[in-house]
Formats: sequence, C-alpha cells, structure tokens
Amino acid sequence: MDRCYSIVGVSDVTTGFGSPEVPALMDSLARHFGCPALLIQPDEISRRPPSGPISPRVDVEHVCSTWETHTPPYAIEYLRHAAARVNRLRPEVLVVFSGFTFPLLARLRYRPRLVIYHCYELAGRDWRSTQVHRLLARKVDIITFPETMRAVLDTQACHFRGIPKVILYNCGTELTQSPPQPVPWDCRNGRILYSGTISPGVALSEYFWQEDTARLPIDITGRIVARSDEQAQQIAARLTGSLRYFGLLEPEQLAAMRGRYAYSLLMWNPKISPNHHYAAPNRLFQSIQAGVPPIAAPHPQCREIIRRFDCGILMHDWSFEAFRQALHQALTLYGTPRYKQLVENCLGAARRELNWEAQFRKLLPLIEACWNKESLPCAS
Amino acid sequence: MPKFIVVDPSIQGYQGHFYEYAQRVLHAARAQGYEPHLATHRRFRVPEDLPWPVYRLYRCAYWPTHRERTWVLWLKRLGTAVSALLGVWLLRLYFSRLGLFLESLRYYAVRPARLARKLPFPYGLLLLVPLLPVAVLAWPLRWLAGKLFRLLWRVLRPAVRLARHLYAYRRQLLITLWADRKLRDLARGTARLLRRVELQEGDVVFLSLVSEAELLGLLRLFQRCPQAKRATWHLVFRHQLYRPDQWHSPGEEHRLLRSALYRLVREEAPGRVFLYADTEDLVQQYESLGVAPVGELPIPVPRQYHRQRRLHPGSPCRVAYVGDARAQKGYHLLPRLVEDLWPEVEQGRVVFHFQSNFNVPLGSAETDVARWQLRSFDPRWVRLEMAPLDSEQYREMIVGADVLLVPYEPVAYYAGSSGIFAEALAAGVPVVCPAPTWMARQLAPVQQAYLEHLWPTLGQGQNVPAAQWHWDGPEPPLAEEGYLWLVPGREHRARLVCPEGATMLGLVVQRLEPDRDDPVLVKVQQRDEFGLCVAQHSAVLYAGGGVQRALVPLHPQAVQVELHWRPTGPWAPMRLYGVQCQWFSLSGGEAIPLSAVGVIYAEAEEELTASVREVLRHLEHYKQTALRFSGSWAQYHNAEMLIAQVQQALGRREASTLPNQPGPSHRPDTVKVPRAA
Repeated sequence: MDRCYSIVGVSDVTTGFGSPEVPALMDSLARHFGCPALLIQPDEISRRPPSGPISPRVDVEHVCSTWETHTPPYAIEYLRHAAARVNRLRPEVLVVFSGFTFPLLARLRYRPRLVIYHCYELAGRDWRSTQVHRLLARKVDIITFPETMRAVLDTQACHFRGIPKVILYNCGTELTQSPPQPVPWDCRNGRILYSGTISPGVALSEYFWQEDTARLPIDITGRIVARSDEQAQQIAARLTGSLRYFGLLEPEQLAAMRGRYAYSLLMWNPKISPNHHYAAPNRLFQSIQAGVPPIAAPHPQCREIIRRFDCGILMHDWSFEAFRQALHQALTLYGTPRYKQLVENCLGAARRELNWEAQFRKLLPLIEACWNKESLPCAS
Repeated sequence: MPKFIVVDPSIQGYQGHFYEYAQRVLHAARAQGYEPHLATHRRFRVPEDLPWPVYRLYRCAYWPTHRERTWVLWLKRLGTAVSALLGVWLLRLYFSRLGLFLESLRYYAVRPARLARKLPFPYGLLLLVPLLPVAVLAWPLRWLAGKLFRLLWRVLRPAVRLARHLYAYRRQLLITLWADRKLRDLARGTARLLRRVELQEGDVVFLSLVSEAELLGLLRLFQRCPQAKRATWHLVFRHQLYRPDQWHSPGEEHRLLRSALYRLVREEAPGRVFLYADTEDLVQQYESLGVAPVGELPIPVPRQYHRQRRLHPGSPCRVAYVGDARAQKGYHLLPRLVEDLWPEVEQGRVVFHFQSNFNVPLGSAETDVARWQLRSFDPRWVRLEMAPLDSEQYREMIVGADVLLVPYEPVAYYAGSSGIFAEALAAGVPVVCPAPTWMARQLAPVQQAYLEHLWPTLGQGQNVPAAQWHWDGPEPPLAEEGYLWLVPGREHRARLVCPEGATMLGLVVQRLEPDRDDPVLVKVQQRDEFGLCVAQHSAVLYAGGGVQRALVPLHPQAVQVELHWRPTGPWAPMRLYGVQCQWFSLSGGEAIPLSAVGVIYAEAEEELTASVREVLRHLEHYKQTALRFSGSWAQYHNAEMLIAQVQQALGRREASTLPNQPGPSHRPDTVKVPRAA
C-alpha cells in the first residue's frame, strides 16, 4: 500500500548535482506542514540515482527510463509516470519544478489545494513553452522565481499577471551536505575558483587562455562542453600556466574545497539568451555562504547582491578588459583589511538574508494566504 | 453671470487626477463669479451633493479604456475557453501513450536502427516490416498533398500577406481608428452640450487635456456649430512633443498637430482659442510649433494641502509613494528600495506606505511582479493601498508622509508636470525625484540657493580647476579659452586624487551656456585604493541659474574620485565656464545636508536608496526647508491663480481685483533658504 504523502514534488533533475533549492523547498514545505513529502525525479544518465532519502522528511522516487535523457519520448514517459503517481496519491500540495515538468498539470484528474510552480528557468523561452504555460497558468496558485527580471519576462510572455509570485534567491544548500564551515580570511590559498561549465562563447571560457590570464592563480573545475572529445581535450590542454584544471568534481568535494579559496568567479555571455543575461547562479550564493567573495560579471542579480551587501567585486562589463581588471583588483585586495571586510560582509549577508530559511520565509505569507491553516491528513 | 465650463471626457470616476482637477478649477471659478458647469464621460456617476450641473456626454476618454462592450467580452471569453479546451486536449494527447508512440516514431524516424535496438529481436524487425507499405504509399500521397497546398497558397497568398501587413501595423491602425473615433465623439458630445447650455459672450470653455484629436474635434464643432465661437476656448496641453535628446523643432510627426492648431487658432476661430501648458518646458515645446503663443498655467493645488504636513513625533519616518502603480512612475523600483532600507526598518526608523492600485486591469508585468514582492513584506512595515483612493484618503496619504517618492521615468516626465509632486511641496513634505525631469527643475533653484548660503560656512577649500584634472580619452574636453566643451551623447570622465584629510568635495560651475533647460549630470564615483567603487552621487547642474554648485560627502575609504560629465538634451555641445572642484576638510563627525526641500538623483538603481537615506539622515532639515518653501510654492500653484491666468489671457484681469493674491505672472522664487543648523 502506498505511503500517504500530502506533499509531492515533481523535479526535472536528479537531485544532489546542482539545483539544491529543489530538495530544500521540499524539506521546508514538509517541515512547515509537519508531514512527509515525496520528490519524484527523473533518471539522468550522467547522474547517479540517490542512495537514500535526501532528508528525514523527504523521500525520493527515482523514475528510470530507457529513453535518452531529455528527449521528447523521455519527457513524455516521465511526465506520464509522474502524473499517474500524483493522481494516485492525490497530495494536497503539489510542487512543479521548471517548465520541463509543467505540462504535468494537464494530466491531473483533481485540483490540489496548493500548486506551487518553481519557475527557475525562463518559461517563455520558445513559442511552444509559452503556449503551454499560458494554457495551464490558471492551475497554479503560487509561482516562485529566482530572479526579478525573469519574473517580469515570464509574467509578460506567459500571462502570469494576477498569480501570486515571489522571488526566492537560489540560496538552497544540499541537504546531504553539512553547512559550509568558513575558513578565516587570512588562511585562504590566495587562488580564484571557477566551478562551472567550460564553454567558449557561452561561459566566456575563452578568457582563460589569454596570455594575461595564464599568469593568474585560477583553479577551474567543471565539464568542458565541446563538439567532440578531441576539441574538449584541446580546450583542457589550453588551461595552462598558473591555471589548474581539476576536471569534474563531486558536489561534496567542491563544497569542501570552496571555502579555502580567496574568490569565486562567475560569468556568462549575456547575449546567448535571457537566461544567461539574467543569471541567478547558485554558485553566487554558495560562495557568499562559504565566505568567499565572488568576482562576478554585471548580471543584474549579481550586481544587486554585490552592491547591496558590499560582498564581492563586480566587473564593469563582459569584456576581457573588465575581466582582467577585476581579477587584478581582487588579487591586489587579497590579504588586506578591505578583503577581510568583504569576507565578513559575505558571512553577514548569508546570516541575515542569503540563506534558504530567510528565502523560504518570503513564501510563507503567500502559502498562508492560499491556505486556511488546516492540518494535512498525513501530518505526524 | 458668465459661465465656466470644464470639458473633460476622461472623467469616468474618481480614479486619476481628472475629477480632482476639474473640481478644484470649478470651485475657484465659482469664487471668481463664474457659473460652473462640468461635462464628463457618460460613465461618470454624479455625486448627489455636487453644487454644479454635470452633463454626461462623451463615450471616449483621452486614453482608450479597457472596458469593452459586453458582447465583445463574451466573444473573447468564448474564444479563450474554446482554444484553452482544445489546447489542453492536445496537450493531454501529446502526453498520452499515443503521443509517446508518435513522438518516438518522429524522433527515431531517421534512426531506425536505434528504434529497432530498443525492442528485442525479432520484434523490432516485425515492427519495421508493416511500416514498409506505409512508407511506399506515403510518397505519392505526400506529393499530392504538396500540390494541393501550393495551389491553395497561390490563391490565398495575397489575402494572407495583406492580413500580415495589417497585423504588423495593427497598433498604428488602432491608434488612428481610436483618434478618429475620439474626435467625432468630442464634436458630437460638445454639440449636445451646446444644445443644453447656451453659450454667451464672456463664457469660458476649459479643456484640461488636449491633443490632435481634440483639436480636430473642435474644428469640426466650430464648422457645424458656429455659435460655439461666442465663448472663448481654453486648451491645456500636458504631453511632451519631443524626446529629451531631440531639438525643439517640429518634424513630420508634428505636422498633423500643427495643421490642426493653425486651422483652429488662425483660420476658424481667431481670438477665441487660447493655448496653455502647465510647465515652462511644455510651453516652449508647443510654442516651437510657431502657431500661437502658449501661456503657462499653475497646477491647481487646493488650499487644504497648504502646510498641512502631519507631524508624527516619536514615530518611524513614513516613506510614501502616491499615485497609480505604474512602471512609468517607478513603482517597480520600490521593492529594491524596501530591501535596501530593511536595516532601518528593523531599527524601527522607517515604515513604508505605498499606493498600489493599477490603472489597467492586472497591471503591467513589472508592476505585477513588484506588487507581489511588496506584499511579501510584513504589512506592519510596508503598507499597501490596493484600491483607488478617494480625495480625502489621497490627501491624507500625502500630508501624512515624511518623505514622498516621485521616482518617475525621466524620459516620460522630463517636461511634463506631476500633480502629486506639486501637492507634496504645497504641504511641505520633502520629496525625492530624478533628473532630468520637470520636478528636478523645480527643486534645483532651491537646492542652489541653499548651497549658496552654505558654501561660505564650509571654510577655505582647496581649489582645483578643471584644467588640472586628469581627463580620460585622447581629447580632453577643454577648449583653449578655458571652458569645458561637453558633447551630448558622450560621457567625459575626469579623475582626481583626494587630498589627505578631505571630507567633502564641492563642485562649482560659474556659468553654463547655452541657456537650455536640459541639465548637465555629473556622476561622482568614489573609489578606494583598490579601485573599487565605494560611493556614488550625482550632481544636476542647470544653465541660466547663475553659479551652480554641488556638494558630495567623501567616503572614509575613498582615495580617488571620478567625475563623469554627461550633458542631457539634444546635439549641440554645452560650454561650462569656471569649472573647479573644492576639497573641504571639516572636523570629524559633521554631517551636512546636501540639499534642501528634497533630493534629486540621476540613476535610480544606484542612487535612489542613497537619496532616501540622505533625507532620513537629515529629516528635520528637509522638513523645515520644505515647509518654508511651501509658502511661495502654494502661492503660485493654486486654482485661484489658474483662473487669474485665464482671465489675464482674456485681457479682463486687473491687478487689484483679487485680495491677497500676487501678480498673475508670479512664479515660485528662488527661496532664500536659511543655512542648515
């Protein structure tokens, strides 16, 4: 007999490999309503299935598939399974993560009491996605966005006006990991960490193999995106000089080593898509939580956070000159009282506002407004 | 008794300034011995206690309304429901077993080997074999379908192209259709008014918001009802003709307006039509059309606002935003401001009070998102008014504020007035507004007067003329004659090193030429020893106002200052004479207010929060100076003065007719603001 779940979430990714706000939101909802939650997640071939629940309150159901990851048949099969499961369990609270799982709402045979749509990628990115969102928008009670301009663009394109919405920064931390322990500001290794996709043009990785950059102490980890293995090897071979490439690390390893770095580097090419321009990177908040000041390109959210909390260094623009100048500024500043101030500002910001609990509190008034405070059937 | 008839088809209810404006003007007209009449939209519900007749005549307001006819609404809803049902059905079909099968066929159509691999042998082969005859037959069917489609397309192509063309220009078409409908409605409605109210010599007809459509409507009216010309017609323009970066020189887009004005004012009704605008800038713009002189009218702020600012001793400072929640009015900037000032909220020093009703159903995307963000804050500290305010609530909100935000978009408001701004100043409430706007233009002389009195008290500063600054770029903007030559569209940057011990930076410009209303903006960025920006302020300098000064407090960590000089306005360069900066070393802990009555900022994202903090830091000073300024402001901006201006235009005004009134051409003077304590 199925266990009773009053809160069910349908994820678009395998948890534990990024997007920590997915399990974080489920855990927070389970805690708020006082009952267990179930997270249904797909099988992504490059990511391991979970070995157990992601938290005492959240069980995980991993849906395997024979179809290739993120192909249309894969999406259809996964969503059919998830919809059948949701229709059988009939949870009171349904959480839908991203536009990939949004069409699930068309297959529901009942109306959950609360439907939360965590829209963490641009919903109106193409015509088909926009139409699907417009069709099903009225089935959603609350929409959460990670960034303000994305909220505006999606509200405009997908007709989300009038639907309660809230901006939740991507401040979630992996539930299976212990909170980062800040390393004192004067015990850092003096190097800059770049962890993310290495992709010329998209992530501006071509800046790493300029002559000026080769002399800078930068550690790089992440997947190289290239057309072929040969090209990927060539890219890896260009990360020379003072640059060190660590390959693809496990999230736990990355979290453990992040705190030792002087700075963390964040940048994407804004011309690729609005998603890239209005980036809402987890890494920004992970760095700040670890007390590692970010060096960020002037994506609007990065600009807002760094300026408000004075907790990092902002490039003037996305040019190589601005990149170079920002890195030089950062290295000059390292070890000075000003650097100490940046580290303290990071930790202060993380304590006050840039943590998941503070972000989830923003959602509570909307949940209360959509709910009449009755306890759920499966509450313990 | 001569009549004073206010014609305003935009009065449909109490929302917006239209009804308030008309009420104030008519009260003042009645006090001047006129018999007031009001002509409104047909939807207006007349209050029972209104002391003058109301004629509900018009169907078209100035702006198109979003209320559609019932049958149109029902049709739209039906269409939406049908397409939604169809869409959901298709979606369910796509995510069904059949959808999975079709999608897998489509996806693997070019990869039959992969598809066959998915199924165990020999099932893969058995699946492919029956598909062979289908594939063989499909080719001729496809050919036939292609032929039919091409034939159909040849027939339908012209119609489709026309439809696409019309669709691409639908906005312009709709605007033209709307304007045509509006002008016919104005002519018809006003003709009906003339049948009910007989116009005599000496009567005044006042249209408070006019554009080309209204002018053409009046032209049609005068042609069909010559008796309309017995009265004088007073038309008020409120909208900008030019963008901030355009010369005030009419282009082809103004041809219709100028032609309509010419025919109305010079040919059809010479001497019967009088033109007005409510700001100096708009007067210049409409006079640039070269048709007729344009008078300036004050904003009719009622006496109930004058010096009525409420005091809340011991209470947190109330920061207010009044007016519809619109992106044009800067509503989307408010969540960020609240987040930035949250430490002050937690200390119990600040609360927010924002009017948050939309002027269109559901608002725009930016205002919708902003309002939901504001609703996530504790309502004890961020209070939102979600419904339109009536007159009393509106007035209470303004006079009850300690700081009023007017964060309007400069492009939309650089020449147009703001009634809310005028009312706040009349009440003595400090304001925060952007430059370059009309609001900044009003505050700038007061700010300069304050700095002029303050300057000698700052002591002997260390002077550094512009020629000694380090200018970026190959060509510093220094002319041989010693003035700064600033080219619009370019930013000129200079760097200065902060001397040891300096705590404030003063900027002085002796003279700006040519005399234009567009200010020069100076962004002052302070950088620490590592080149990081630690503070940013903006100075707004206007030509024609004598010596221009700005004062910037230096951040303790600042070692270098960057001055970014940017002239606003059209192409001609500006010349700045006698430009220098002065470094002041004031004894530790002094905090000097940087302005008076209000604060002007240039870049909302960087400076709005700092501007509000500046007012909060010196709240008493700004309150006192705002209260003192309100006297001369309210002396000019009131409905009685408006009526006086109209009468003067008619040539009937005599200097001593009204007791205790200044001369009709009085404008708020540069009030001598006493130096800060």
